Order: sequence, then C-alpha cells, then structure tokens
Amino acid sequence: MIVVDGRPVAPDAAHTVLDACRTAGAHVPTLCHDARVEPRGHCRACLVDVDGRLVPACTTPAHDGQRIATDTPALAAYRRDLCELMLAESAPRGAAAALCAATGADGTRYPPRARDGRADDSHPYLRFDLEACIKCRLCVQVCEDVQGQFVYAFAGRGEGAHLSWGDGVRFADTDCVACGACASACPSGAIDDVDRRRATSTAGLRTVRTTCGYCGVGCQLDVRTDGTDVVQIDGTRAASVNAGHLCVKGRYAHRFVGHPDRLTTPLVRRGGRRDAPLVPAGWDEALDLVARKMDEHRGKVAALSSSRCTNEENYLLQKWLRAGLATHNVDCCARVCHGPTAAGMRRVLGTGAATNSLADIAHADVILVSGSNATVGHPVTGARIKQAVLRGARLIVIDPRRTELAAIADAHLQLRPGSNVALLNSLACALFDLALENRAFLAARTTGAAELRAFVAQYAPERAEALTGVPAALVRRAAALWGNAERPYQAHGLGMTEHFQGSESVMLLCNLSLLVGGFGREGVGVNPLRGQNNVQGAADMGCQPDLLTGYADPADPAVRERFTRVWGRPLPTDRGLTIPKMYRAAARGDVRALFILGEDVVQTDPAAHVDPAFAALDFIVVQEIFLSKTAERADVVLPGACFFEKDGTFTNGERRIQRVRKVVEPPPGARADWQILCELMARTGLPQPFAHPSDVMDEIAQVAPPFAGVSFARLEGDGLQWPVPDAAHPGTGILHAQAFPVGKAVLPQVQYVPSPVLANAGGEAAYPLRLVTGRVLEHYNCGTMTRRTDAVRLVAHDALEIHPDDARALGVVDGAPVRVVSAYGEARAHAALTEAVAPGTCFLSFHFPETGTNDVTSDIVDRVADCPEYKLTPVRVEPIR
Amino acid sequence: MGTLQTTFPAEIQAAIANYPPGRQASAVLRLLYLAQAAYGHLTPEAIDEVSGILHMDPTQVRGVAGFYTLFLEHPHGGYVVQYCNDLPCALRGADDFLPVVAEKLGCRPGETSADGLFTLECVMCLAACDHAPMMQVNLEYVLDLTPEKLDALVAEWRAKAAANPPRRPPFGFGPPSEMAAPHG
Amino acid sequence: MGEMHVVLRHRDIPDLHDLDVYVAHGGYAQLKRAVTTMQPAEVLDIVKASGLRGRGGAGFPTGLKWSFCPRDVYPKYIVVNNDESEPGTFKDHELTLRNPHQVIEGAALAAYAIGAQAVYIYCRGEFWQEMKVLEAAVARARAAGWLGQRLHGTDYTCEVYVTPGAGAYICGEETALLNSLEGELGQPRLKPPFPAVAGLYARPTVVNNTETLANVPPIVEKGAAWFKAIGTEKSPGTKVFCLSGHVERPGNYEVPLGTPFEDLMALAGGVWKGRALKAIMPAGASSPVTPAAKLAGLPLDWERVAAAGSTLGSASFIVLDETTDMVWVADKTTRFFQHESCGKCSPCREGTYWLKQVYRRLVAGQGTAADVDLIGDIARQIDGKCFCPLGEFALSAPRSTLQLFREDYDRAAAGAAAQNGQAHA
Repeated sequence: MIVVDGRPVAPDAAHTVLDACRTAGAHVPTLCHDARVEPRGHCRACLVDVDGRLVPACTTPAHDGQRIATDTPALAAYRRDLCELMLAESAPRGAAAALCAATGADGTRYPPRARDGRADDSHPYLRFDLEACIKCRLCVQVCEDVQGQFVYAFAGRGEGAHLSWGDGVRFADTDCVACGACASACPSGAIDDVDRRRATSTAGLRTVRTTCGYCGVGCQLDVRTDGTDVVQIDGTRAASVNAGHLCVKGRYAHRFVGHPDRLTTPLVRRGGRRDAPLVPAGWDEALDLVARKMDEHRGKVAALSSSRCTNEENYLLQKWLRAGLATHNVDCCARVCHGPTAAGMRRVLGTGAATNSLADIAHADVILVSGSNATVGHPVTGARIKQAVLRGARLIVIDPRRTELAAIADAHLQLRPGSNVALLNSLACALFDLALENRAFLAARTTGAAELRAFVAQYAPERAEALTGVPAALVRRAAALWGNAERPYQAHGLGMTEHFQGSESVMLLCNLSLLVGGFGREGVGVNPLRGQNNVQGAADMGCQPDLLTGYADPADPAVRERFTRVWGRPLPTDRGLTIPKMYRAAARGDVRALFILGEDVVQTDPAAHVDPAFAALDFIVVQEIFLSKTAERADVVLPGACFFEKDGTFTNGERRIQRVRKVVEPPPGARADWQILCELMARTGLPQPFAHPSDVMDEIAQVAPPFAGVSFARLEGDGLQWPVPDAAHPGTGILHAQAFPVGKAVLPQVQYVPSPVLANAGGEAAYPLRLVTGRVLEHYNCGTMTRRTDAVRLVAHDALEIHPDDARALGVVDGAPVRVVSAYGEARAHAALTEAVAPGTCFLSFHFPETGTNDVTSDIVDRVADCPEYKLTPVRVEPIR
Repeated sequence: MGTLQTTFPAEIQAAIANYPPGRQASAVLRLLYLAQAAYGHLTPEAIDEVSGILHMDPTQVRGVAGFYTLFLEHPHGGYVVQYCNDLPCALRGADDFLPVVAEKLGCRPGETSADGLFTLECVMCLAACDHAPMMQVNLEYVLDLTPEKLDALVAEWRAKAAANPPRRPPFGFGPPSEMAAPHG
Repeated sequence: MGEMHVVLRHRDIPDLHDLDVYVAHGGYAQLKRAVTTMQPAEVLDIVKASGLRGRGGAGFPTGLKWSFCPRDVYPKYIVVNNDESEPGTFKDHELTLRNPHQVIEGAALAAYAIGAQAVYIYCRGEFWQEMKVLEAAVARARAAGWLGQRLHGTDYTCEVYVTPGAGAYICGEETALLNSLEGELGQPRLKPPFPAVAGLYARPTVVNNTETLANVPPIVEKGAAWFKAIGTEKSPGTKVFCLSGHVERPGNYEVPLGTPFEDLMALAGGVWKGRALKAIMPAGASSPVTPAAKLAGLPLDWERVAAAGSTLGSASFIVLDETTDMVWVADKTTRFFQHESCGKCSPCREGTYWLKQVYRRLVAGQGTAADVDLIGDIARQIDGKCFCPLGEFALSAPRSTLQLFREDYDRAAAGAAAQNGQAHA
C-alpha cells in the first residue's frame, strides 16, 4: 500500500509517484508534465515528500510502502521559492503564472534581471513571447516526440539556456508544420497561437467534443465556442485516434465557418434556362423545384453523395435514390480515391476496409508505406509513423517522390509513376528468392503460393528495374526487411489506387502481407489511409451502385427482403452507374438530372469527364456551403451546414464510427443537410420519421448487420469500430484474426499492363514528363474551406514540383510561371524546383481553381473500379514568358 | 559539396566509422571540430553541412554547438588563448598574472587583439593545476608561465604569422593529424 | 608512508607510453592471458575480490558495477570516463599522456569481463593531446595484435575508440557523458534505467574512470590478495592524490589509501612559504572544505574523510593556507558551477546564477549581512531539488565555508573587498 497524505492507494494503480498522488486526489503542481511524452522532471514543480525526501513526482517510480506527503510547510516554502526563481528569469502567463499566484510568489524575492525578450509573430498562427519562457523544454519534447519534427532546440547552458529555432531566423521560415502541439503544451504562454489568445480574452466559452471534418484520420476535437463562433480547437487528449494531437488544418483551419461567402439562401435559375442567373429563392420554392425535377426525370436521375457529410446524411441520400426514386444510380467520391482499395481488398480478402487500428502503428516493427504522403495527407497518422520510426521501427516507402517519410526510410523505392504492378511483383519475387515467405501462414490461410512463385519469377528485380527505375539491389534489400519483419504493417494511399491498374495494385499489396503472414494480429495488416473525413462511412452507408448499406449485395434475396421490410419499398432493379459512367450516361442523355451533395467535381474530377456531362444534363442540383465551381454551374443550389453545425457520425479510416456534435448553429438561412434530404424525400413521396440523426442511425442498425450494435448512446467516448454485430459487442479493432471472409485467400497473379495514357496523343516524345497530382499539408482538396482561412498565408497557390535538371533543360527557374500541357488540356502554376521528384517526374497540387490541375488529367480510369488515373498523366512543361 | 567535405573527406569518414551503423550522430562533436577548422568558426553554413552529413536537424546541431565551450560561433583570432584562472590556478597567482597575459597579447579577456592574431578567454580548470599559471593555445598546453616565457612565445607566434600570413592556424581543433606531439 | 606506483608506473619506467617499453614490462600480457586462458567471470571475480573502488569520485565497488550488466544482452560497451574536469584534478591527464597502454589494457580487460566488444574512451575536449596519444597507442597496439578482431586466435574481439567531448564539466556525470557520446546535449539522464542496463545506445554499459581501469591489469596480474594488502580494509589499493594550491610542490602523488594526511603533505613539501594550513578541499571544487584541525593525523580513505565531514572523491586536494579568504574561495567555486550548470532544471540554473550574484557583491566589498543570509536560502532551494548532483556540488564550498569560517563572511559583509584570495589580516 502507498499512502498519500494519509489516504491509501493500491501500488498497482500507479506507475509513478505522480500517478499515486493523482489517484489519491492530491493536487501536485506540474508544469512540464504532458501525458503524451515521457516525463523528464525539468521544471521541478512536482516535488513531493516521499519517506522524508523531496523527489520529483513525475519521474519517481511508485512502489509499495511509500509514504507520500504533498502538502507540507517545507513543500509550500520550496514551491514559493521555486516560483520566485521562475519570476526572476521570466514573466510567465498561463499555468505557470497560476502556480506562482497560488504559492504566493510575487517576484520580489530576487531582483528582476535581463530576460530573453525575443518575440516573434511572423507565423500566421503561432505566437512567441520568450520573456514568458520558464525553460521547461516541453515544447522541444512534444515537437520531437509527438510530431517527429525538430523545430526547437535549447541553446546555451546554465542561465544562458534559451529556446531556439535558429539564430536570427523568423519562425515562419522554420520547418514548422504548424501542428500546434507546442502551443497546446506550453505551460508559460511563451508559445501561443492566435486562437488561444482569442480564447483567453473571451469569457463564457464552452467546449464541445466532435470529430474533425478534414481527412480520414478522424481526430477528435475539443472545440471551444462562445455560442456563435468557433474560437479555438484542441485535440482531445483522451481520444484513441489522436491522443490530443492535431494538424495545421484540424487545429487552425476553421475560420471558414462564419465566412461571409457562406451560402445562406437557396439559389435557383428561373425560367428553366442554364444561362439565367442564379438568384436567391425561398426554401419552399427551391425544394419544390428539385422534387418536381427529380420526379420528372425518374429513371434518368443520379446522385453523388458526399464523403464530407455524415453517415446519416449519406444513408438518407442513397435511401432516397433507391427507395424514393427507384434507382441504384448513387455513388460517392470513394470512387475517385479508394474505390480500388475496396474492390481489390474485397476480391482478395472479402472485406474492403482497413484491417487494423491506427494505434497499431506503434506495435509494428516494419512499416511499408506505399503511394501515400502520410505526413501531408494524413498528418496525425504520418506523425505516428514518424514516431514509430524514431523509436526504431524500420520503414519502406514506395513513392515516386522523396516525401518526408521517404527521407527517413530504410528503403525508398522511388519508382517511375505508373509502374506499381511491376514493382510489387518484383518485391514478391525477391521475397521468394530470399525464401522469406511464411510457409505456415500460406498453407493455412491461402492457396496459390506455388503458382504465384512461378508467376512472379518473370518480375525478377533485375528485369523489373527497366520498368520501374528502382535498382534491383534496393528492391532486394526492401524485401529482406519486409520478409524478416515480425510485425509487418502496411499503409497505402492514392498513389496505389488512382491508376489504370489501381485495384490490381491493391490486390498485390495484399499479396505482400499474405506472403509474410501479415494479417490478424496487433500491428500487422493492410491499411488504406482513407482520404476524406467520411469516405469510409459514405461507402459503408451504401453510396455506391453495386452495394447497399453495410456492403449488402442487392442480388441476395435475404438482403432484398430485409431492406424492403425496413424501407417499405422494393429495391430497384437497375444496375446502377458509377461516377464515370454517370458522366458518360449524362453526355448520352441517359441521365438527365444529377443531384450533388457537397462535392466540387468541376475542380476535382477530370474535366474530360465532367464538361460533356454538365453540358448535356437538364437539371443539376448542388447542396453546398460555398458557391463552388460546381455550384456555379448548378440549376439549384441548396445551402447546407458544415460539420461544426450539425449532429451525426463520421467513420474514419480504421472503421471507427465517431460522433459529430453541433458546436454552433448554421448561418441563418442554411440548414443541416440531413434535414434538407428529409424534406426532399417527403416531397417525392417518401416521408421520413426522423427527428434527429440518432434516429437515422437506429434505422441503419436495423438494415445493416455490421452496424447492428451501433447507437448514438454507445458512441460516447471513442466510438466503435465496425463490425459491431450486437448491442453488447465492443467493436472490432483487428480484422481477419482467425479467417478471411473469403475463406482461404487466393494469391492473385496480376500482369503489368502499361496505362493506355502513356500511348495517347503522341506519347513520350510530345509529353516527356510524368505528372502526379496530389495535396499539400496546409490545404484540403478543392480548398473551398482552407482557402477561406489563414492557410493561404502559408500556401497561396499551387506549385509544380519539378527536378532542377528538367527545369534547367526547359529554361524554367524556381518560382517562374509555367504551363503544364497534356493531351487533355492545360494548367498553370509556379515552378518549384526540388530534388524530391526524380528527373522525368513532376507533381502538381489541385487546391486552387485558377490552376486547372484537373484540366490536364486524363479520362483513363482503373479498369476494375472506374477510379480516374490522377497519378499519371504524360505532360510537357513550358515556361510562360 | 561544402567546404568541410572538400577539406576533410577522409577525416569525416573515419570519424563516422568510429561508431556503429546508424549512430552517426555520435560523430557530431568530431565533425563540429573539423567544421570549425574548415570554416574558421561555426558559421550557419558549417552547421548545415554537419547536419546534412549526419542526417541530423540543423537546429539540433546548433543546440549541440552552443552547449559546449570549445565551439566558437563567431570569428576569433588565429591563436585562441584559453587562460585558466579557476580556483587552483588562482591560488598560485593566476589572477595576478592575467594582466601580464593581456598586456603581452594586446587584448583583454573576451577580446581579440587589434592585429587579429590573438583571442583571449578566461576558462575553467584545464587539469594542469600543478603547473599554474598555465593556458592552452589552440589546445596546446603552455605551462608554468612567466613573463619571459610568454615574451618568447608571443614573439615566436608573431614571427610564424608574419612568415605565412594567409595560413592562420586553425583553432586547434583541426583534425588530429595537425596536432603537435605531447608536451614534455 | 611513501609513494607507491601502481598506476603511475611511468614515474619509474622511462618511456612507458611507448608500446615496446610497455610490453617489455609485462604489458598486454594480462589481457592475453585473460582472453586465452580465463573465463570472463574469472576476471570479474578477481576484480570483485580485490575490493577495487571507483577512482572517479563516488568510490563505488568496481567489480559490483561490472556485475550489474546483464549477461546475455549484446552488444555491451565499456566507456572510459576520461572527462577529467573537476577543478584541482589532473591525474588522468598524466596517466593518459604517460601511461596510456595501462589504461587501454585495463579497459579491454573490463570489456572482456562483461562481454563487451567495444570500448569508448571519452576525453574532455581540452585533452586534444591526450586524444592524440591514446589514438596512436590504440593504433599501435591494434597493429601489434594486442587489440582488435579475434584476439590471439580466440573468438573474442575488442575494438577501442577514442571519442572527444567539447568543453562541459557536466559530461563527467556518466549519463551526461553517454548523451554527449550519442551526439546529444551533454545533460544527465533520468535514472533508472542505470547505464548497466540501458547505457550507450540503450545497451548495457559500464562507465569507469581512467585511474580505476589503470588498476585492473596489476590486479589481474598479481591477484586480489596482493591488492587488498595495500591500503585499508575498506579502501584497498593506492590512490593518486592531486595536490594543488598552497603547497610547495604541487603535483600527483600515488600513495596507499589510508596514508596519514601529514605524510602526503610532506611528499609535496608541506604548505608553501612556511605558512600554516587553513583548510583543504579534498575532492576539488565540489567538496566541502575541511579545516586544518580535522586533518591532523587523518588517514586518507573514503570512510574517514567522510567522517571528517567531507568527501575523498577523486582525491584532488586543493590546499588553502592561513591567508586565504574563504569568501573568495566560495566565489571562485560558485563561478565555476554557475558556468557549468547545464540549464536543464530551474533550481540549479537559477540558483547558481543568484549565488554568483551574491558572491560577486560580497567579494567586491558591496555585500551586506542580508546577502550572507540569502546564501543559506538559495542553498536550501537547490539542495536535494535538482536533476543531478551538480546543484549540490555548487553548495559544498558556500555552505562549508559559511559554517566554518563565518568571520570571513562577516568581514565581507562589513564592506571589505577580497584581494585576490588574500584574507585581510
């Protein structure tokens, strides 16, 4: 038994003396303590009396028999004097100032002396006032151990020790990624941010926990609001997804919420003419018009659902199409990102979702990241991978660019864009050559190993090198690392899927894990890093033509019976169209009315698809929060609500269903999207009984067995990972522990087929560079949200990354305007010379509409799942003189 | 390639080879010495080059350089004179002898002489207390100082500098091969 | 008792730093004998049985320290702490320059005993010449087959590397030294884990002082009983005493532990200028002063110096004659520790800064009685509150001089400026 101030504490309840004190309810002051990092005992505020000696509570192990006193006259005197020393060297705010006040220290004990008065406000978000710094070094620790960045150091020693990010360097010019972890941790206010400062000066704030609406990581947010505005955001410390960590978007990019550009009234074109202006209209007029037009075009309607919207809204939209308008013509943007993952993984394993939890990354000993710039696209997951690598995990990266992760990788396979299949086969071949395949696992859970071995022999690394550009020795080294892993973990991104052979590439990723027995354990599996916040959920809810809610097969009679019973309508009998097929059908006149929920397809889908479709459609509805490029071309625009303004759920990339909670009201005139959808359903003869999104979730639980045990009441805290087959089930962190849904997995054999895009329109002679498109850290996709925040002060335009050798040959200098021309169209951007791309490869983001990135991309799609090939377009680059 | 790598390629490789694979950060002190010799003092470029070679973050390397007293981040004289006036030497008159040193070198502690030849620093114990007053000059020990001994040395250093003005001796801290044999 | 050269053998054997001379006098024979005919545990047992205690300051039993290393975990490391930085200490300086091979052989024997295959000799940055000598010695010994791969046809490999510090007293603390060796700031680590479990690169590591390891070859050669017969029961062997300050012949004197204080002083010619002794600091600047009265007849070993209210530590005797102003002494040591505070924890960083301010006023003749009281307050704020022992080291001189020589402080508080260490009559 440990005794704290006379109260007993069980010794196994505490690692450290601090734990024991807190368990006993004793208050011990701490300044440099943060549960996310190892305690270091720098600030000395937490000293307590253990068996007569003063020791730091945070670093002293707890053990049986200790007698701890936290409140003695000697401690009170010590704490006061410590604070006096602190006040002599600094002018702290925040927690440190509060401690000084609480101890009675007033700064009179020692005469004040010269302090480090450096201040810096060069950064759009972060603020520095080093006069407040108490030199506890927590910022250095969280920067290094949580974000894996190395922005800070302590320079000098003794009384000259001071926080440094480089002598004479403006903070805005450092490598800071603005995750804000330092500001959230700093106990003295020396490191602060604009939101925190605003929050300090605002009274009566309340905090609402919700789920971030940017990427598919699903970070939990503690949002502080004054009732009308989002004031400040912190990561939820208790959340398993992010444990308090956030990225620059989740923490800071929220000023779009109350932006004057928000849509606050429905817009219509009167007179049924596309050339009539969009003018404000009443809700009844707009909703009636939409209902009438969708009814009128029955049999020729289609809808794009939104990965940005909640599960409940996605569910309602597909239910409206299927039960109300009798068609399977509903799809979502998973089609254009991880559709190939779902297809490929389903085909090999039987389930098209991540097999593990994000927290599993910490348990992996070898991590294979393919086609994912995780520190940019999924920053908090990227940080987790960096943390794992810094702690000793080995890292293999497959990417045509030298990403931040590639730079710290043990093996970076910098392949030529478009050669994924050849490279993955050659890795499999090398595994066999090294006899590193897991024979026991292969025998127990797969078939076709011998056949695969024979098949991949033709992709020996020395031969594949000609296709991939990756040195054979490097492939063999990577295979040796992977084959010797005890806990091999895969994370992949759109660099694998958005290709002509995207689905097949994912199947080969499954191969690599099957070959080494990499399924069904903690820290082991295949994990797509889902792009949008709720792209997993949109697919789960059935926003795809071939699968219903919960991935139910509409051809299955039992499924049809179940849905018909709950919905009260028969299921449609058509085949349903994927997004690219919808566009083609629209161009042909087979689809006449298109309903688009929260997606800016004009900016993000290839223009080669979109333009002919939009020209031919009779009626386009866009439900949006801003007048996007797509909304500008709609016949009716319905003003929706963003994720801070409504209730519901998002499902993140690890299948975790988490609550979205209303923080503020939508702007006057706008409505929650689920309410708009219910209105439309009622006006087309399918009235819905739902008073709240939780009622929608209850119906989802009825129709979809993987969600049978889900209810809003059960989603408090960390939510649930599906499948959740009943109300008592705890959720499923790891899939395929015992068996695959397909039974024994058949090891797929895939022949490499060069994308037809390479042969199009003059081939390599006319278009010698291979363009890859993607995102940057500071912005999100089409940028409608982030471009309306101070993120534009960090990144103000899209940049074309090009190798200095290529640039020199073209007469392009850094920062110069260039034209990017493909057989499909052209884009304009500023050149950014970098050796991160190999010669012959270039990279362009698509966040700014004026760039026209997707005017360049082709109409080639994944030959299995119809996903556009965004990651490979032959282009030429011309300087604009 | 930076000045350090062009000047001391073999020394860099040898320094890194002293430590296990993947532990190249252990060589940071050796490389900072080499960089100091190559660049004259630890300029931002020197720090960047060291961090690049060792795959360390420049901020970290800068922190290391700032922590240790033998790394100089500012220009200094060709002969860095580190004079000990710590307790054991002071007990044998080191404080009284300091003005003599300052006068003969032509600079006060913390300063560089007008001719740029000497930088004088007062330092803590150099582990030669039995030979006080003493100092290290570019890390070579000069023991049992007397005014006469100092006169002779200063004359010798001035003559060397006059004979070969462009070749300032590095602040000791060059590669080991440039160092003298142990003192008698 | 007179001098006895177990580690300062070069005093008796000219050119012992030369490999050929060292080998001619039995050098590296013990390493060869151990590697070819003895089990590692036998070497460890001899050292354990000898009672050898660490010569760097703490006096911890060396064999015991080795035995804390787990047996089956590899790789392991021996790190030689040649970061001799305590003011008044200059024994390792002489040892590495003049008898480097005995240090290297000792380290290699330690490595064999614990199953390490690599030795790092960490030298303070100012020991540039020592590093040159050590590197040359290692290279020659390796070329001659005394070190390196598969020694003497066995499976045992022992590589020795010399690695520099760059000017930081705190790196003498073993975990700070390890951080420095890993390329980090030389700041102490939290313990546990102790280096024996997770030291260099988080591997089991023994950090031993230079002089400690130089004792190992003679112990292995002549046996534990021989060693135990020298010195006292609890402090066996000889010790190099560094005598500095107010003595006639400052220098290193190697004598058996337990040698009476007067005998040691006699070797150095006694207090200089025929003056009387006021006090000594027996373990450099970090030790409390011991007044002359307590030194009379005192046998010099760890136990009895501790009983006299100080610490033997590394046996660095800073001798203070009757004219010494103790406020000035404490000012000097305070400046030292303030300069060397790493800045990690506030009691030390800020406490030593304020101590320095107070002493600066006192030695300038601008102090007051309140300043004298403030010394005690600041000391209480530092004592036992810091991350590592440096904070307490900084208090040794201020507290002990204040307690034993209050009159010097009263004079200072009354406005008398110190005159380069000479107390006013």
